[in-house]
Amino acid sequence: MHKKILIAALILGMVLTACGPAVQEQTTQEIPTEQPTQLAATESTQATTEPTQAATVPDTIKIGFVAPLTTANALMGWSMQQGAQLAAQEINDAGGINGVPLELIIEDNSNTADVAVNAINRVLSENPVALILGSTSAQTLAMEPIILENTLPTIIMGSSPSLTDQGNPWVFATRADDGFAATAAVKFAVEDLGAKKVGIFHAAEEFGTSVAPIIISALAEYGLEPAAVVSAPSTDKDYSAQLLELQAADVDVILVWVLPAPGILLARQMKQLGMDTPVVANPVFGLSQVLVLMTPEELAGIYSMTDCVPSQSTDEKILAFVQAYKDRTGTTPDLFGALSYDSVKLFADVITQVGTDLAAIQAGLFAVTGWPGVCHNYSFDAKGRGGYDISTVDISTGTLKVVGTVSK
Amino acid sequence: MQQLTQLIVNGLTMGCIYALIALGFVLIYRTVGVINFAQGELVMLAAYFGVTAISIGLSLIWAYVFVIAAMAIFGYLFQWMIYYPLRGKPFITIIISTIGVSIILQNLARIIWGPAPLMFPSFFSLKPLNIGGVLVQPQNIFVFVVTVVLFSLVYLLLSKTMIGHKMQAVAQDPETAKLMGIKVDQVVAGVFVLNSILAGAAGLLLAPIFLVTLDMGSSVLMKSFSASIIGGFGSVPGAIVGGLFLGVVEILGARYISSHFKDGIAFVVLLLVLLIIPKGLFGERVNERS
Repeated sequence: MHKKILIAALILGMVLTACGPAVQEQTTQEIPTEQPTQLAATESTQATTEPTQAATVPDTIKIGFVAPLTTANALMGWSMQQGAQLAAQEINDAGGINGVPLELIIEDNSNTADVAVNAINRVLSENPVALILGSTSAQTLAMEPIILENTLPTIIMGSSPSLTDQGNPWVFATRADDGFAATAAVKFAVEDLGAKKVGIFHAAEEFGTSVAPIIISALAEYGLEPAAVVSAPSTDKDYSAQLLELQAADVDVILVWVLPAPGILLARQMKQLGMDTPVVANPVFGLSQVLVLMTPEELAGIYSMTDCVPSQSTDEKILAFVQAYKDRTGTTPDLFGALSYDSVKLFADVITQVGTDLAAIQAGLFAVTGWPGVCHNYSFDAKGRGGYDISTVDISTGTLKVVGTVSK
Repeated sequence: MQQLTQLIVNGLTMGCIYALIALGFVLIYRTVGVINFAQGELVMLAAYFGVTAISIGLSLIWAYVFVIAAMAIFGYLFQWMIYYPLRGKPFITIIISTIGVSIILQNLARIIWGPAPLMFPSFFSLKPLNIGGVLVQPQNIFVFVVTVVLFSLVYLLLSKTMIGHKMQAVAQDPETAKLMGIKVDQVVAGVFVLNSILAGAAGLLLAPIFLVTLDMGSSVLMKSFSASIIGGFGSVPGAIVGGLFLGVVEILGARYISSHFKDGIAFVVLLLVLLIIPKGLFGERVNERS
């Protein structure tokens, strides 16, 4: 009997740790049947810089897209996929990139590093000219060596500082790192909420563990030390031990850095334990699909840091995006839908300008200055980071009410 | 002291969850000698069936009936399509097939219900009851009561009824059981149906506490498996004791040692139990029976 149990445990362990729970999928953006191929030669010559591969016009210009379309982060991945596909559709409806249709090569990373590596390898087999990673930081880190080896211009949405601190010149981030967001969160907690005893609750994964020291240093700027620091893996379902530790430390504000589903459970379990302590969180509560799953009691006292709130913009171009996204999905776009949309549009714009040579696209991205996107106006610093705007939103009414914005 | 009590109460709730899933492992193992790693996905599937039942306008009580009926049918189909064609094949072949089923079910659920978490209502208010300063969710009390009742019924079924004796006979020697006039295929089918119903009950109990998500079963599968080993694999009382023990120990460890090592603490406990009592808390009886 013991032999059987041992075999079973080994197999289960291998499956859970190595293979991931979901199968991988590949879907591709539909290409218009009437391709305006006759425009390709003429329009490409109108580009401000001569495309280096103009002599051989490809059937499609391929951009890889790897995101968590399954597992715990699928909520974010879905928004990212919708934003990217909307942008691709608009580009193709307008005639493609210099007349060549844009094709998205979409792969699921199953929210695990090993599946992410397999996903990027499958994308690379399609010879893309650019890559967009909607993956979270741990998966992005696993893919970065492959990006460097293949010299593929890549836009990432991961926010861990380590992603752009490694000096990979092919990686560009369309959002500020967590250092910027966490510092803004601490500033809001201390200056606006008057926090004196701050507790920290972070995910046990890379993106959470990397932000905890940043929060602690930001608190030190105000002469404060965290009253308690707790963490939980994103697969965990019960946070009462962590919450009771924060309660015992008598914290007056909790800074939270977690994923969407754990964020909802955390807010719920706080109320179940009778905790009304204000929460200042990462963008987790800026997602419209998260808000609809929370009761008014659970929403009370929660603030979230978010890159942008497109639906509250007064800019006609941004509002047009919001409407198009709503028409496509039936939901209001969140920051990830907007960032993904911006990433595809930005690549398309750069490729229109410089062609499909990888080094030229890289140089084109570095040359971008104040490119007006839906979520940010983009310029990339030497590390490849752009999009340094972060807003604090009050979600207590069930909608995102901006109460402050920090820009760099 | 009040916080310690609160922690124990919350740990017992998680322990019930581990125990309910562990019971599924035990039931299948005792009868057909294999381990069903699709157990977590059966729990998930039941919760999604519940969401569908509510979305088509059924009341909560009828949603429960719908889910239990759907899970009974699914349990029969599961053994007919997965176990029956592979019966007699090596142990490892069958458990790998159950892992395959778990992957298929999770992806089917994603295609049908989408990746976003969903809500499932409870019979009870979400407001906690204050019992001597300890806050307890009415749903958690419901989980505890139903878990104890289900375990008692399964224990009585296995040890005090003719059906239970037949199940044990099939587990020990299917060929001899057949010679004794026991309809082995029917007994096996019945066990899979019962297991699926129990998983359905677990899904209905968990859904209002957790969200209905694709990983709601698989995320606790490993700890449930550990709980069944701690209790003594194959033992019904062992499953509930192991589940409750693991639930309480891990929450106390997370609070008083470090939350950063919560999962690690659970598995260190498993290792310690296996080192000190290799057969688990109730392992002796299992050994005698098998």
